[in-house]
Amino acid sequence: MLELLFLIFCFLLVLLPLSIFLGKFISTHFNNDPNKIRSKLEKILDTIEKPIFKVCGVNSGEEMTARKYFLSLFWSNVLLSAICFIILYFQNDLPYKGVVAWQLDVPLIFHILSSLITNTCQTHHIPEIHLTSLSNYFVMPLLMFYSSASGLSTGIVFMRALTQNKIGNAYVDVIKSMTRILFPICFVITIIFVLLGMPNTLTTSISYETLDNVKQTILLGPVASFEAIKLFGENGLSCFNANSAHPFENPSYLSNFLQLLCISTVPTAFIVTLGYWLKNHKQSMIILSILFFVLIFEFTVTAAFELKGNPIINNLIKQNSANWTGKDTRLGIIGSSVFEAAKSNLSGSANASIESFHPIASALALFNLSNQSIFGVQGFGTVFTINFILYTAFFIGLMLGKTPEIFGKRIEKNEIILSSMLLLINPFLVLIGIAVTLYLYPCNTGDLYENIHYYTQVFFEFASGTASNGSGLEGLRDNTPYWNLSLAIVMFLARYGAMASMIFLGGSFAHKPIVPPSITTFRTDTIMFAIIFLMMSIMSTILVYFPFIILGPLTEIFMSR
Amino acid sequence: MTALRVCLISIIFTCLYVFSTVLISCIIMHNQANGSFIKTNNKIIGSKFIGQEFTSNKYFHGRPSLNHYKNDISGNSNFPFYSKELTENTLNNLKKYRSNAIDANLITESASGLDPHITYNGAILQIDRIAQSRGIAKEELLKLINKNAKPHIFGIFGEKIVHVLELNISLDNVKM
Repeated sequence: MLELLFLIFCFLLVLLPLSIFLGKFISTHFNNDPNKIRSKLEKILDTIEKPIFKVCGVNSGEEMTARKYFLSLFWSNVLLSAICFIILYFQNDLPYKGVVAWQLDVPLIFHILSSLITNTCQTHHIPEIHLTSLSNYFVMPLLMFYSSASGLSTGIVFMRALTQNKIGNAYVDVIKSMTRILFPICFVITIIFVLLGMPNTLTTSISYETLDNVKQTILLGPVASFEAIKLFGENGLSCFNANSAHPFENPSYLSNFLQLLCISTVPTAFIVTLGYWLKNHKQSMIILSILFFVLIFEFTVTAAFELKGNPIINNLIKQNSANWTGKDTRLGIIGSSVFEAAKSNLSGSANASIESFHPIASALALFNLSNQSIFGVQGFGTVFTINFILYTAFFIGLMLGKTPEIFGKRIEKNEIILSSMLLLINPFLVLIGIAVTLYLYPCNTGDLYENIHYYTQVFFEFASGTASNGSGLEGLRDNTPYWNLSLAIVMFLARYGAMASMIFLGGSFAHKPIVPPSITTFRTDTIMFAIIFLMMSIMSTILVYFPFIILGPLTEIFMSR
Repeated sequence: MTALRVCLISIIFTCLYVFSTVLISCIIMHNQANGSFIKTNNKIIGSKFIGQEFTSNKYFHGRPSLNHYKNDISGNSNFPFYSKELTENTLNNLKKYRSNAIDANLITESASGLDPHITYNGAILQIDRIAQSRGIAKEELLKLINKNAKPHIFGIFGEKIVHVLELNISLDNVKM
């Protein structure tokens, strides 16, 4: 437990300065105020970007409506998927094949594209078998960059509309978030990762004879550059089947720690940005402390159950040992548990098999996937957090008998409809998905435990698909046309449904004047508000999902007693 | 039309990104960027990060792996925590060792199926077998393990681990 304590301490110690720096950077560079004073760096970057905007035909001064902003993002995402569809379909005829040449079937391509462009990165394919090196190391990063940039833009436009009454231009935001955030930072991360031992080469494989005279073939590629965007963009797709557990994707304990930092920097920075734009740092500190409180609680619970070990195995070996099933030795019990607890909130890249964890880990993960507001996925998570703040402010307003308002803006009918849509899209898709799947493909074994575990797997699959997370209980054999098509549709609807509600919600706030706080305003930057916010966020998730979480992982725990 | 151009620009950016990082890392850190291979007598015998399967009695063994340390598919069996399969698999792996008092690390699958390390205790437990098949004194082997063991990072982080391949290479170098 001492290790956990120090790990959390180091994590916060490094993360906070980094994210405050990045948050400040975002708040100045994505500020659309024409009267702002531009720094030297910004002027240089502006001159670099000017030709890019010109080539793309983007008028950088143009202010879009919410509708146009959403449609621009949506169509550019669809268009990029269409381009990548062609590349993936004809991957056998293209150069840089590597060791495999597999003709992908159309449902699988739909699933791959849908999961990548929606930033979900659920993996039904096995990268080593199904994808050529070109598709794996060029097409996948491309989609990850673009989906991550779309997520960033959605978060930024929502916060900008809420605090500055401006919407901005979708293409400008996407290009800026690529040139100013994603590419430079990923470049630095790649170099650090290579230093720690990740390969980064165009060679595709090397064969040799091992010490014990077995022939071994090692697959290689530009792994480090892939990893950088996978983690910093919070995508979580793997270039090897084992994801971040593969020694090339996660060579040491230190690299594991860095990956943890990578996935949590942007969501933390976004909340700092919100503080800068509201000119109220207390607000962002209060939100951050609540989110970190939940995150650290989850770290502790997961790690405690893993350290206790598996009673069945401990019985076999007649001693107390931690639960090593599905964990790599170099990452250790604590390193694996902390990453596993963080990934269901943040990214979806796994460094251990969550299926072999104590079921409490799955239960927590399902809670996080349903809630989505504890940091959450790139850009979207912050909007979900603010959405819960909006809800809390609304309920408090109603209870006190005042006009409900958030950050000085009135909450009216239109906003509540959109924000309820945001809350209800996920349960709608998840629960209907589970019902249809269990009806069509019930578990065929008579064993009760296997039945319940199958239910947990199905639930997890849909929850991670709709939450743009993409982790999964991989024991489910999910590379079938049914799973591929159904999840492709679910992920697509969840992502763009949420994106539309977020942007329209922002757009509807953008036209409202900011009322300066008076003495009767219920302030949102107090500890009191923070506690109510936490309760609201937990309660609303529990209200929707608790029966279903009880049926799955919690029953597994009680059954085995 | 703008959307198409933005897509094309991002394709160009991504290609530039991948090629430039590969170029820089291959120039600055040639060994790491190409997979950190370990060579003896100018022949590649393994990578520093990828585990190998050892079956003969004269070597230290790694952890069980679903695909026997083949790189074609990495990953593990994903046994659920309370499942019968996990118990059966563990019992099966336990058969290899003579005593039941063994480190859980040695008889359970790793996450990647390519885990290059075992715990320090796991290495100690294998001393008897290797001493018998090689005819080396147990104290000698213990010294060897201690030499190869990596302690906790800063005394707290991670486990005390041994790299199986490096340990076996140094085992081969011991003069009998």
